[in-house]
Amino acid sequence: MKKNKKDILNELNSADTGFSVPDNYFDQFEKDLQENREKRKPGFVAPEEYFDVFEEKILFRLRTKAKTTTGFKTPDNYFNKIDQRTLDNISIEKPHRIIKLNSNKFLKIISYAIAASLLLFFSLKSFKSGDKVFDIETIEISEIESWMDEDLISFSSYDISETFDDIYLYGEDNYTEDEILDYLEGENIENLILEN
Amino acid sequence: MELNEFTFIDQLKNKETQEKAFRELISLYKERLYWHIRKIVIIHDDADDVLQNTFVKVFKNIGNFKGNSKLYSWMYRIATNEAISHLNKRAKLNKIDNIGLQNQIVENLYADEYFDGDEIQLKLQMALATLPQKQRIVFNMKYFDNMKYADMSEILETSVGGLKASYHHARKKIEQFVLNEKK
Repeated sequence: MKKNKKDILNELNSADTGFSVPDNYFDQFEKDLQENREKRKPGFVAPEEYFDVFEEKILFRLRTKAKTTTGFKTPDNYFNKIDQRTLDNISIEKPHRIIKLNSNKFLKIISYAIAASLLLFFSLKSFKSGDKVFDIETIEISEIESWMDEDLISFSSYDISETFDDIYLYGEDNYTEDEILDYLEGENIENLILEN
Repeated sequence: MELNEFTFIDQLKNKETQEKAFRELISLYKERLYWHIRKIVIIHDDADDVLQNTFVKVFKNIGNFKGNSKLYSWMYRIATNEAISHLNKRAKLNKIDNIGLQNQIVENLYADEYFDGDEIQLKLQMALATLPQKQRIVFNMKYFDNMKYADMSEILETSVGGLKASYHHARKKIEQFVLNEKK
């Protein structure tokens, strides 16, 4: 006899799935789960009674904070006006130029300073020797380098700043905050921190 | 709690009922939030500072809480952000990056009176210290707290897929760390 659809479904419903589980699986399951959770602990502990007094600690903090106002007052709009008042009271200075030690401009200045100093150095030498004339064109670059290496000639930042009095060099503390910020924007701050 | 959440939030906002409700809120969440924070900042004193700041922030901002997320997720989010900014401040102060700071903290766990973990737990903390901050937090929430990804997603404002990937990467890195240690 041919089975109808309903009979087949009933038969499938009552049939065994064929799956099985290991012996005592369900008895052990809860225990394993608990043990597994126990193992997953970071190992931190809190001081004894820490949680017992925590509410009081927070509420005390909130209450005392509310009561710690000083009672001092400021005139109306004081903080709105203070910026302008401060600006009005300070004379606006022309911003100083800041030059980087490794900038092309600075290197150019250094080369002028070297040339000027060398000229003076050899003029004096020529004046003293009287018989031999030196000028900047007749000196080899390598000779200048070796004099500098041997410290026979040197230029301090004072020499440079005296010669070029409109330029401020590093080490002087008279920069405005804006100038420093402008400068720092072009620098890798992390490198500066590591270097200092 | 969930059924009465709206009522409870109203009580927290109402000046008349605020203190009682707030006391109840602290009582309900102090331990859960403490352990969540502690796993991020590791040192008890830091966890205490962050937990207090979290509740103060909750108290001050409850008036602005719109109920777009569950109160519990909102508080966890505040706690997580407070813990992260606490670590960032410390790293900045010590002029090191976050992983460097984490390594430094974990190195001192041996001597911490509030750490009673064994060698394995210590090694796990050492491995965790090598992870990026976000992966570490995701790993803590999933591995130790067995939190649902959906809840984590609401707290960390990250997609479930992203969290699963983070957890997977974290596990791989920890396994690798432990394997390298054994060599």
